[in-house]
Amino acid sequence: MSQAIALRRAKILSASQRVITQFTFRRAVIGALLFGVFASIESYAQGRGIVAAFPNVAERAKIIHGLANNAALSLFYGDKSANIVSPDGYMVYRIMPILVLVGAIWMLGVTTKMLRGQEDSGRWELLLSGQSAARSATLKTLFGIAGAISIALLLIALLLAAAGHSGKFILTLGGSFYYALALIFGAILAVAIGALTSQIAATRRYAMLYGASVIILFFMLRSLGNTVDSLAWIKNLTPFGWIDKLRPFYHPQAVWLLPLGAFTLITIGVALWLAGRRDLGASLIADNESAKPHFKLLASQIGLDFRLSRNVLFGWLLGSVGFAALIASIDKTVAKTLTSSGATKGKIAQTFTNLTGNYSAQMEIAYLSAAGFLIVTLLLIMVTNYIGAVRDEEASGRLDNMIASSRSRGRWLLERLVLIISAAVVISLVANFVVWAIASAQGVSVSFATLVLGGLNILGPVMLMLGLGVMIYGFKPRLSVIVMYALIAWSFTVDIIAAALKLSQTLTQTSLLHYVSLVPAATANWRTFTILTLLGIGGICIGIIGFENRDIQAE
Amino acid sequence: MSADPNFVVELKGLTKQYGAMVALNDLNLDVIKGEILGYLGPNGSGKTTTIRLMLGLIKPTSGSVHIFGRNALIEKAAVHASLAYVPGEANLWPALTGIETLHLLAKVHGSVDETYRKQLIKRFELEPNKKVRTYSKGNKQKITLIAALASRAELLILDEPTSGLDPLMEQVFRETAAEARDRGQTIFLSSHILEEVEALCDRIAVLRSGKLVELGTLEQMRHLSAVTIEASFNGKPPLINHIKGVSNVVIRDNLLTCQVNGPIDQLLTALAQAKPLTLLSREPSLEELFLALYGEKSGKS
Repeated sequence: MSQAIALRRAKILSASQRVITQFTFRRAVIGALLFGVFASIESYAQGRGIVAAFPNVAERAKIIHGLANNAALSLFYGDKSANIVSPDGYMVYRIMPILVLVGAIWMLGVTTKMLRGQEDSGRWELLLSGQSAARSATLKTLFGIAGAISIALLLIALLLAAAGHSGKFILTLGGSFYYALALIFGAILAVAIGALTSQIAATRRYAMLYGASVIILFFMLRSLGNTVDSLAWIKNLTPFGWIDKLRPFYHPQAVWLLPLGAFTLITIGVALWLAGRRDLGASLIADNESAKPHFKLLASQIGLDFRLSRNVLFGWLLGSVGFAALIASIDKTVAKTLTSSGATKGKIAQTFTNLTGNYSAQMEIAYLSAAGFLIVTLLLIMVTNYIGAVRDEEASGRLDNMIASSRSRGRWLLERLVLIISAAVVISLVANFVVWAIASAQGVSVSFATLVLGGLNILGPVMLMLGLGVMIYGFKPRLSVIVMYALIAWSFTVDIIAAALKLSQTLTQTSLLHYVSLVPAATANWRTFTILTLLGIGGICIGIIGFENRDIQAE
Repeated sequence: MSADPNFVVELKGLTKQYGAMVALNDLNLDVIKGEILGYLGPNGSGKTTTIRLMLGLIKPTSGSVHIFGRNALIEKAAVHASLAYVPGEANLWPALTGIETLHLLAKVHGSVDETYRKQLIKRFELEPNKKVRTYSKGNKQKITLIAALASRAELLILDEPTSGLDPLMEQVFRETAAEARDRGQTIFLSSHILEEVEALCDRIAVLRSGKLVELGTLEQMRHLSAVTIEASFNGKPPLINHIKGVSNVVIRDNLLTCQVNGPIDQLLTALAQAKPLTLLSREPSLEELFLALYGEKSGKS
């Protein structure tokens, strides 16, 4: 009898030990699945795309080697010494570093949310009041995250192997698995870094900030080593350089897994050591508990919004300008490379004609339009995140403070929308201005009005997306961000695979990105802009009416 | 517009359903100008739903809400200008300091007595320059309380305002709430703290499973429940279980405790015949009323 009781107790104990891991896994696995699918599609589309665009190997080699010598491209692209002419090698060179970075930022967010975020909210106390001490709970959380990462790893490997089995170029299961491992190591590093910054920082926000700074520093060091040949040794000092050196599909150097593994284990070890030593809520870097009051922006909703989101908006501005500047700075090299072959020039012209409908520009002017494509993608993500923040204000109960006063709901929402629309306009203007300034400095003849003012046409799809988001928020607030992200993913995927798979016109028209006039390659289509903007405004109006009349839904 | 200016809040046939679940069922309730109305009920009885309906945060399935004679579901902005609200859980902006939050809430509300706010900050012992994220639950609650009280709004809607406050601060809250009533402000006070309601409220409304089950002054409600009798004897206490209205008889040694509803003459006669050494009668406290009410209604008695 006593043995049965002991067995039962052991079972209960064992179940309680697993619960933190299972809870964390549940919260992280959806993101892991989405990342896995996204990374697989992105990777395969790059390999498939380059083969479809340039079936002739000699022509492909000429184009790609021309691009590989550009310093600006080396910042984001991979190791040019790899076999970048083959479709799998091009996949590694062209997209893997970016996916590594995206995976790292994603996982940093998840890790800091599940560790420091839980602590900030007070939920960590509840977990620690069970059968786990702080160190053990941290470890169990990391196991849960590791489980989710494993799902992403397997998904990427299997999807690529499946696509490679039946597609235009062969990807073996072993090769795909090794590629997926290299790709996912950015996320693994971020887990270790996030676990450490969660112990060091006073809040989740700071844990994220410190972690992102470290990741960006590591990535920049790797980019520096990639760009300047005499500084190539720097890549040996940064984990992102080690990932490059894994070289999937071309002379794999698995030995670099050792420093990557060691870095991960040591960082997690330090994080666990700190987790067991510090008091709950304490941090190595103390936060300023007090501050001198500033009342200037607190007289209105729009002021409050600006104050609370100005750092984030500034980050979006910097990101957009940075990408736009990168495109502008490589414009001449890319144009020269792409036009060096008559056949290539003809294909590029055809591609632009398909995309814009009326391509007639010179290559160096046409390539600048890639900046508009990047900016509109970033703005679509920005407005989606913003609707997420609006929803969070309602879910957290903070909205109650505002609308239980003399402020109307509609006005509250409208003021928030005015801020994000203004931010989108400013970002679009500044980013296009930077493109114009850099292009002009390089002697590219493009008019200010065409590029900067014409570039504003990208706000059409942004307004439509915002209108759609607000409309859903007005009736089904919990669904708004999910639908918006799904639409972005759909638009992006359709646009990526459209070129490679020659999709039907009807399908490509379902992408929001289809409605961007790629200035200066094409002239801005103000009719489309007006229609999209009016549809967006209509959506906003319907959303506000819905919001005025529905129940406030706190979590 | 309402016909009776004495009623600050008039809830008529107020019902809120979520699918098949009835959160609030045909609530009819008036709040009289200048009173503190205690709003009691166990968890999930519909107290917060009532408040959210009054504020227009959620829409009723049926019924009406009039505040200061205006339809609160339509003229929200005008109604809200005359009231201040303290939520049960203070959800504030963690990056702002306490004083910045008070400034923001005052701007949003549109009215503030700054001198009084300074006094309240002192009385509630709030450290205004600390960031909200560093505040304890009680300190966050103090901010919403100070903001509401300093607005000098005609109607204060308080949803469990002292949750998280220590006993000293609870006392300060009671003083400030009483002062607000003395100035002519009306208070709708939803609370779990029966002692607080007993000390502060002029009338009490009791909610159960979304229905109003009692409404009145504490004195009126006391008649609804049993009087507690305690008697001690030299010898064994008499048997009184058979007497009409007597319940909960407990005998320990020579001490007898029981409760009686209705006329007590039969009980007194029985006790007197046994020659009691001491005899005490006590009216029910609000807690006893509350427990009796819920025990009885839920069949637990």
